[in-house]
Amino acid sequence: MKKVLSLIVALCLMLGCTVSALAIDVDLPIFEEKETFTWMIAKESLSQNTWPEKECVQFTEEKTNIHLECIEIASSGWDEKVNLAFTSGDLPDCFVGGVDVAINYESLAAIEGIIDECAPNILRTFEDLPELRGALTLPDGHIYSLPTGDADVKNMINGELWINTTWLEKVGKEMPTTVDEFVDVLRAFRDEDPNGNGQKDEIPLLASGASSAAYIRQMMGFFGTLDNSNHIRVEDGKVIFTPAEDGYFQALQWLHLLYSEGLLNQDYYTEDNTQFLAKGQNEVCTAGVLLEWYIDNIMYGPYVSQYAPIEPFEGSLWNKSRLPQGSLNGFVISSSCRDVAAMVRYYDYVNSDLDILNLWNYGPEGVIWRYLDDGRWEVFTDNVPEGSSSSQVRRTLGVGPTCPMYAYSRWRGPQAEKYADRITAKVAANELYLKHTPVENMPAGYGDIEETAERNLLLIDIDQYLDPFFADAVVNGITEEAWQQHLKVLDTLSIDEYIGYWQTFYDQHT
Amino acid sequence: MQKNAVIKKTYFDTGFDIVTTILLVLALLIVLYPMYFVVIASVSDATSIAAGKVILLPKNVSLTSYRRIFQDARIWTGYKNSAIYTLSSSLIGVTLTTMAGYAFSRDDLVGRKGLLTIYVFTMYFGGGLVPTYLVVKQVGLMGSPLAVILMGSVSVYNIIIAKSFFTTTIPKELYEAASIDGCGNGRFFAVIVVPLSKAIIAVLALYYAVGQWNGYFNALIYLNKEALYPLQLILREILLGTTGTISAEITDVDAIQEMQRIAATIKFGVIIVASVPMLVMYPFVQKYFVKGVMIGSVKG
Repeated sequence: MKKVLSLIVALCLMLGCTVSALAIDVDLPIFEEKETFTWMIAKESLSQNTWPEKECVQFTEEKTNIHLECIEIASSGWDEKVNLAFTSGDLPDCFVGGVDVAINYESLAAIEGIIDECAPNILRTFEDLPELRGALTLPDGHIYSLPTGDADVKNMINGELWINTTWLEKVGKEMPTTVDEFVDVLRAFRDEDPNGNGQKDEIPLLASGASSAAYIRQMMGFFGTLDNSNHIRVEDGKVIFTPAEDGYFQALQWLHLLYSEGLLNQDYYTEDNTQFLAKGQNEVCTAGVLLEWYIDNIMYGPYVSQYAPIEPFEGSLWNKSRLPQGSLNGFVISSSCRDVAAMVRYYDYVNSDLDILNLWNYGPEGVIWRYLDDGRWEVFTDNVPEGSSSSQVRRTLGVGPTCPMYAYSRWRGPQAEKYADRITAKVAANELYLKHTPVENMPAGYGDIEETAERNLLLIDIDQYLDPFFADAVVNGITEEAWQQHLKVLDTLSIDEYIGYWQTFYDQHT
Repeated sequence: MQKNAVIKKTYFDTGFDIVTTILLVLALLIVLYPMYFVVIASVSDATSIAAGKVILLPKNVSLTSYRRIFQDARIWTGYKNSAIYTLSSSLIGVTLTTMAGYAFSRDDLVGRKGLLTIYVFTMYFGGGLVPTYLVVKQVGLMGSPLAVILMGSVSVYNIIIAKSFFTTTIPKELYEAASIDGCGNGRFFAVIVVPLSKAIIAVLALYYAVGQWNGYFNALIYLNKEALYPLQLILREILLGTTGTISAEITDVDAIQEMQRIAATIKFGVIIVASVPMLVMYPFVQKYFVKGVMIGSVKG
């Protein structure tokens, strides 16, 4: 009898537990009475109002009973403010906008337990993107941050080559399929006056050091190597330092050929972004091949339709973005926050369905985004007032990508969203390029804190040497001796150590 | 004058004059052209500027830049805030600085040397950003406009300039004479010293006003609301918004380009809008300026 009784009691207790646990899961509001939390927020300069004025913030407050006291920091002063907050110990409850987790993790709250317990939507994200959980976990086994931003397939590839097909017809050439044919086409663009104005104003290959999507180092892949901000690639599980590869030498020689023959934009190293953009705004089209994110990022309206993407040549490589995309350290909760779980649940609620997610990302439905009959949604621009822009309206009615939401393939991408024509074209071009991206790619995530710091220090040294070396090779050419000399210099820059750190990181995350 | 007219200029003198004039005109052009360029660039369109077509005359004249600036409500709030901060800060600054400067100029101030040493010490050694931040926070000025107004309102350097001015222009005998008639220090300062010190007051006011008008750092650190930001911080945000940390992580290429386009359009207009108040102020204080600064500097 006693046994039965205690069993019943135990059962009741367990039931009670599960019921209350369920209650934490789904019940809103989070608090019965209004509670105030302080958030430090990186404000984007395109936004025309403040957080408390935004419908998404008011709506979420109504639902959760969490009132946000917002400290909005101009994004240009974000670093100073965040560092000051951590050094002085005067911490808000949350930071939205990117915090160096590896350095500051001791002042941040570990949230993996809370996520497992009461954040079903974050768990769903982890299920949808299996690599995300590992990427967010620090080597000490804890999770200190939640991701923010748009993880959109359109951003898988940065710059791509777009060729003017009208010009191509005019000079009577085919779409290039090898590096030699490519150079041949560029020469024809230079010499045969394809824009027909009788002047030699054509820029056969328009790339620029002023915009990261237009960096020529993206084309190093034509020679079987890659160059990116970390100067690494992965093959057969081994991390390779690309500036020491033979392909890198060939690529440099080739880029010098383009530069010295006047095929590459001659202002590549000297112009700033406005000067670069001005090159596409001429009445007469002057660019043969563009290296940019999309054509209209540089090219004047009427000419956009003349361009088509060039598929990377057989056997070449191309960079793709590290996964998972988005800002992994976008949302962090400080350890002094009096109710960490409430903050996690707030984030969880914002990511619960598309209505509220897009309310944060794009503002109220029907202004610049709407549902379609087939269940997908789209961004449209009919309501954008004259003199403003879609980007501005998005960040004023909603918040934009820097807010407690992570828009990944469940909400974004072709199956969920009808892209505007230009994005459809960009995604189609991405398909061509993705065929040539390496199978193994360095994942994004947090590595060992000390090793990461050490690695970043080494990278500064490497960049300080490599940037001028690269520029000199492109402009003045590079000889066999200079290349041997370069390899010797690399020996002194602790490359082995640098690659060793990346190797450990890669092994941890795959 | 009469004598000079009699002496005939030698060829060397004429040559010297010509060369000097040419050199000075060149120097003037070098200084003037950038300002002129800003003016013509502010009414030209951004594409022509970037393409290097704007050199001597504006190209594709348009007022888009100014229209954009004046449409932006943040700039007006910034203007208002800057005006408030500048006026209050220079008022407080001038009052405190002249008072401190006067006190230090008097021999009979007890412990003058020691006090002055402490003041000067702060010119060379400061607590640094974090301790200052903590002090501001603990006295409850965090997020308040008073933090910005007070932090920029007294500078030891200016106190020393004021002190030297008083030491050299207000003779001890003046105070002796006044005190025989029963005048105390307070009255002497208010009725006699201040009216005699217009030059230094104008200079101090200008120093404080320009410093506060151009400053953004204190506002960046101690203010938390955009509604309180001074003009310079707003402009900084509009022009540099693309280079912050977060934007490095934003993959929204369109937004970045949009910001760059805006920055390129309004860049030069913004320089004009932000400098006009100071340019207007200069002619009024200029006549005092040379005098006041010279006195301050010689006997520093």
